[in-house]
Amino acid sequence: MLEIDRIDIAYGTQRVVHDVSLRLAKGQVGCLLGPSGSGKTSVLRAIAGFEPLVGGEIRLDGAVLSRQGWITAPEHRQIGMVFQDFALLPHLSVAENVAFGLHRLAPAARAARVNEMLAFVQLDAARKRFPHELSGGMQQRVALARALAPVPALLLMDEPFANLDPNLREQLSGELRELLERAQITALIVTHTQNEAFALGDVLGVMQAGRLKQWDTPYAVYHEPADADVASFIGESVWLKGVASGGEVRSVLGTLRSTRWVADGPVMVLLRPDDVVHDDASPTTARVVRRAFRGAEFLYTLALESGEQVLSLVPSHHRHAIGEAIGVRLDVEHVVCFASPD
Amino acid sequence: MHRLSLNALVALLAIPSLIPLLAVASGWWRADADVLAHLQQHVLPGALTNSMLIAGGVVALAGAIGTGLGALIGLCEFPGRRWLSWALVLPLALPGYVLAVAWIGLMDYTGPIASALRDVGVGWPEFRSLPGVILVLSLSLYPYVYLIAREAFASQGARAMEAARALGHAPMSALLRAALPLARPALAGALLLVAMEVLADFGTVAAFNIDTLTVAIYKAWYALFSLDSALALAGALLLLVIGLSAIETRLRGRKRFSAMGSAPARRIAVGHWATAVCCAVLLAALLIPVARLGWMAAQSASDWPIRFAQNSLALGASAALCATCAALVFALAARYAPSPLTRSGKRLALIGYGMPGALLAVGLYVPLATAGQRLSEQSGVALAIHGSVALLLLALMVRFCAVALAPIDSGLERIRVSLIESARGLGVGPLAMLRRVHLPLLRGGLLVGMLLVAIDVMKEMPITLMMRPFGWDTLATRVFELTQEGRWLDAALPSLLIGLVGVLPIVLLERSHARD
Repeated sequence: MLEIDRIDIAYGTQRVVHDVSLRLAKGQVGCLLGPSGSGKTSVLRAIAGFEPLVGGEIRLDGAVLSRQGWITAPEHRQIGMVFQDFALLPHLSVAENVAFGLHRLAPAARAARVNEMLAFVQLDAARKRFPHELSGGMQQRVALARALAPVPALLLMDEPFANLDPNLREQLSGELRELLERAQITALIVTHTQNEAFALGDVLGVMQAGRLKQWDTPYAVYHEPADADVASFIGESVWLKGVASGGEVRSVLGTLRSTRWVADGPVMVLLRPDDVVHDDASPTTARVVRRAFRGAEFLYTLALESGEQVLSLVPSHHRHAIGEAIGVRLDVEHVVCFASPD
Repeated sequence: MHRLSLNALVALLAIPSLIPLLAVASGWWRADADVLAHLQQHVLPGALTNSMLIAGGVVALAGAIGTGLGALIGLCEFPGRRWLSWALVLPLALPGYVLAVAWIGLMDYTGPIASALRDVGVGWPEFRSLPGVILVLSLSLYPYVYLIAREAFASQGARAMEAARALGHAPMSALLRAALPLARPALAGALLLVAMEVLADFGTVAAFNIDTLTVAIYKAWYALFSLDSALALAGALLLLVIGLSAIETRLRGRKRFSAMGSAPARRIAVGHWATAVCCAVLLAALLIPVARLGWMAAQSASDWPIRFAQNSLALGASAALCATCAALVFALAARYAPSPLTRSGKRLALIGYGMPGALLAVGLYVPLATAGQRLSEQSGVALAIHGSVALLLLALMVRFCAVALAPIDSGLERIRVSLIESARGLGVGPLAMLRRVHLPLLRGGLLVGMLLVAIDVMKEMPITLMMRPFGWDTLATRVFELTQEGRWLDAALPSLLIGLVGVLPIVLLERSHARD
């Protein structure tokens, strides 16, 4: 179990991580999602022991690893790390790389463990090859095998797909998920791509400007974002003006029942493209402003009578010209709204 | 159209680099049997042993100092690291013979330390010995290793250290098993460079009065005036240099060493001892020698060496102009008229840089002087080959063309093909292209190249010494003559001036490093 309590990280006088707390239970895979510069990699490096804390505490299975003025050296943490560039040692073969962290084992046990790990990531055939002779996906598996070989209590992965071909990412994230499940390892993965985070994580955190905005299941982060920033960062979203009173929200697209408590007064309602449904029978119409073809669907940008714009995903056999008025209605399961900033 | 004239120009400029190679290689066959026997019995064994012992010793010592400092600066954090990072490069400004003047003045039998010890009845080992020259050369050459090691450790070394530590290796184990193997090819290159510099060194070993191959060449040339022996000795030196270059090519195998990324990593905090270590090296290689030279210069009764400084400047400037023009031709030809000829022209320029000055001087002088003599005998016109400034400039051009080539080449790489093509599309012809596109864009590289060559020429000793017009001295040859006469105090001021000039390129280098 990884416990992070209210940690602060600074480079010199510049504080890059503020008051971040999270829990990761044994066997869980967590994802930290955020734009670059949001501090997510700093959190990861602090857990690995490369960055000292200026406040807060990091514990693993009850033992304190870091707190202000105290840091357990990275080599004594039993934490495996897969670096963004994989950091495979170019002068060592695949098998030697996997054996690199097994220096405390006897030679026979080391060889056995290397064989086991190579079989696990299906790289037996490549054991004598050198890192630069492997594809990006294979390099990632070597890095994973190397990090898992010493049986760490926690695995950290920094942007596991950033150095790989974008076309392969989806396939590889499925493979990685499967490998992590089979290894039954607790893992924390940093990424800036939400599809990867959705595909990999049991728990998901959104970091922005050094703060952890939400730490929850991917489903909840998408459908019940903690604040407007998280909602805007995750998925496509538009905001519709509304007025709340007693949990009812009135908007130009009709009246909705808010999923959670909201103060009376002007609010912003979160609308995902799948919340706005095209329906010819609907009395409310909107004008097509833009149309993006996505194969199975069109993503329409629609202008309402109020001048506000919403997004709508429509099956691609419904083809409408720009400027045309089409009927729309809302089909919202989770009505999320926040008090209007103005 | 211009391709042909470019090729002819390259061929013409490449000939001077080829002449010494051929002359020296043929030296063994040409030489008189008696001369060879004499050399083999009395000169060669000692000179060869000394050259190799000094080279081996300096490679070990400068390698240890440079790698150690590189690891400290590149991987660790300690008080003063930032200024020490560039200050530790500064000793590069002092050529070995300048350092020798200072340290011999301090440590010799008549120096303050030995005198003080003698007063209390303690003996003092002779400083002008192999260990002494190894120490002094290491202090002047370690920056080559340090620069490479610092770069290698700070970039991919730091990442390799983190990867190793995440896999349970303590810092020292991570350094030895991950960062050092990764830096090995770069370090090997730097050590090879150091070995070449030591083999080529003349001034330092001459000041220490130790007979190496370069000193033997000089003595055969001046004291014996036996050109054949000088050529034969140069042949031995050439074999050593070629052997070293062959090692470098063999060192590269199947493994690749640059595949590791270099994300910024946090340095490992170490204590004040690291500051102390760096300061100790800085004291020995820079501060003590400069202070000592200053003191010696103040004691000396001689005038300011204005005439010698003027000669140094004039020689540096003209050689820089020649070498830079040649480098520009080589670079442009290799880029725009690629052919086996133009490509090998560039390679020859690099070989010239690898040739020790004493070897180059002998190898260029002997065939040209012989040819000149024949020509004047036949035509009846006197051709003054010996001591002609033209020959000296030619030799310096061959030696230092590669120095100017590097910045020009990197400037040329930044001029994209599309730029040239678009200018062509606008109707700009080849010569106008040179004037309107290349020269303005390469101006920075050309200036840097000229500056570097000029400074290298001013520090250079053996070529200038052996080929200068009679009685015409530069600062460097003046230092040589004064030390040979034992006038150490008088040698201090010209030495100090040479060191001062040498600071310039280092400031340039470190500024561009800081900008990156």
